[in-house]
Formats: sequence, structure tokens, C-alpha cells
Amino acid sequence: MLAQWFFTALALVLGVLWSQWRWKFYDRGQQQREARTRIVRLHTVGPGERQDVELAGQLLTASIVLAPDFIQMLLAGFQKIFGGRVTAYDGVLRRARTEALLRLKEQALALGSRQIFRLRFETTMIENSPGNKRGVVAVEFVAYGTALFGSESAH
Amino acid sequence: MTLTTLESIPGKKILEHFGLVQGSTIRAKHIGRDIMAGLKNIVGGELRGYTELLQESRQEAIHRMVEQARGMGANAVVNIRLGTASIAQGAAEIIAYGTAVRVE
Repeated sequence: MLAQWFFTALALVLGVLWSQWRWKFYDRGQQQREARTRIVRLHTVGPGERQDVELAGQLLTASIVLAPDFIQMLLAGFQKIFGGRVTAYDGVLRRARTEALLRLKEQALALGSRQIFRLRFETTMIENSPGNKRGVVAVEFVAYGTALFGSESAH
Repeated sequence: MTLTTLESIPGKKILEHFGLVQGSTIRAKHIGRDIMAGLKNIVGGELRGYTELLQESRQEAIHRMVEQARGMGANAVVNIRLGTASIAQGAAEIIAYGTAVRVE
């Protein structure tokens, strides 16, 4: 009986360590790409009367479906008992948002644009059937906007 | 056809306004993707199959919207918005809508 508890606890601790290592690895990759795409400027507004951007621009959409791992779901389950900040899901959403933005910025860079205007976000929960907590639970994150081309010095 | 999320096209005048155009599609994931995604849900991370599926659907929704705009004689769609809704049993509806216009 004691051995059973011991192994369960051990598996849980190992699981948590693995989960943290795994996402740290993921974050590091994102940070590197973030540094490379920092030059692209994002705006939630339109260009207005600005003269430094030209051409018709192009619609860009980027998305990702990201799922939390088993350990995060377990932790989220615990955290939901007490309410407050659900750090497990916090991380998933933050990473999904970062990833969608990175992809958008990379697309813009590939086209030679450094300005994205009228940026919009969209989040959707993906469940096996709505209201059913079993099965696949993931979050889809979409970022879209218009890439305009113009002078590089523009802010 | 120019597609943009802006209300107008910088440096161009809108000559004619055709009103709302929209395109939508409902897609369900197929079972192979579903099983893979189920496995992936244990280790977490990106569900690439779903990302692609939804991205394809979004392109199709946009394409349908563009077809409608073209049928009206428009050469641009401005103020485009996208939406996704997860509906019953692993199916998702994707909608794209905007305003069809003719610019110079």
C-alpha cells in the first residue's frame, strides 16, 4: 500500500519535471524566433493618414492548435477546485498566442513587409463535444491582419 | 482581388460599394487525425493535423467570400473579419466576411 503511494507520487513528480522541461524547451525556441522577427511592427489600428506605407497590402492569417499535456490538465483540474489563476492553461494560451503572432510576423518578413495593421485575434476551444470534458481539449489561436509595405524606419 | 482587414485601401479611392459578402465552411476532423490528436493530447504540444485542417478551411471560407465579391463585380474586399466556432462533435464552422467594393 505504501509502495503504491510512493510510486504514484514519484510518477507525478517526474511528470511535472518532464512537463516543465518540455515547455521550457518550447519557450526557448519561441524566444529565438521572437528576436529574429522583432523588426516587424504590429498595429491594431489602420494606417490612417500615414504616408510611409504604400501598396494595397495583403491579408495574412496565421494559426495554431495547441494542446496542454496530461500533467497540465491534471494541475488545472486541481487549480479549478480553489479558483483563481489557472496557471496551467495560462501557459498554453500564452504560448499559442505567441506562436500565432510569430507565424504572422514570419509570413510578413517572407513577403518583405515590416508592418502589420488592423491585427485581430480569435480564440476557439476545441473539445470532442461541447461541454464534454473528456477527449481532446485544445485551443485554436488565430491572428490575422494586413501587411503593408513601406519604409523600414516607420514606427 | 485585393483582400484587406483595413477599412479602405491606402492611397486608393473607393468608387463603388457592394455591401456585405461572406463565405463559410464547416469541417470535421477525420478519424485518423482524431486518433493522432488523442495521443498527442497526452504529451501536449501543437496538434498539427488540426492546425492544417482549420487553415485549409479558412482559405476555403475566404475563397467563397471572394467568389461572391467577384460575382458582384467588386475588385476588393475590405474590413475582412474571420470567425471560428466549435460546433457539435469535433466539427468547426469557419466564417469570413467583409465588405465588397470597387476601387480605382
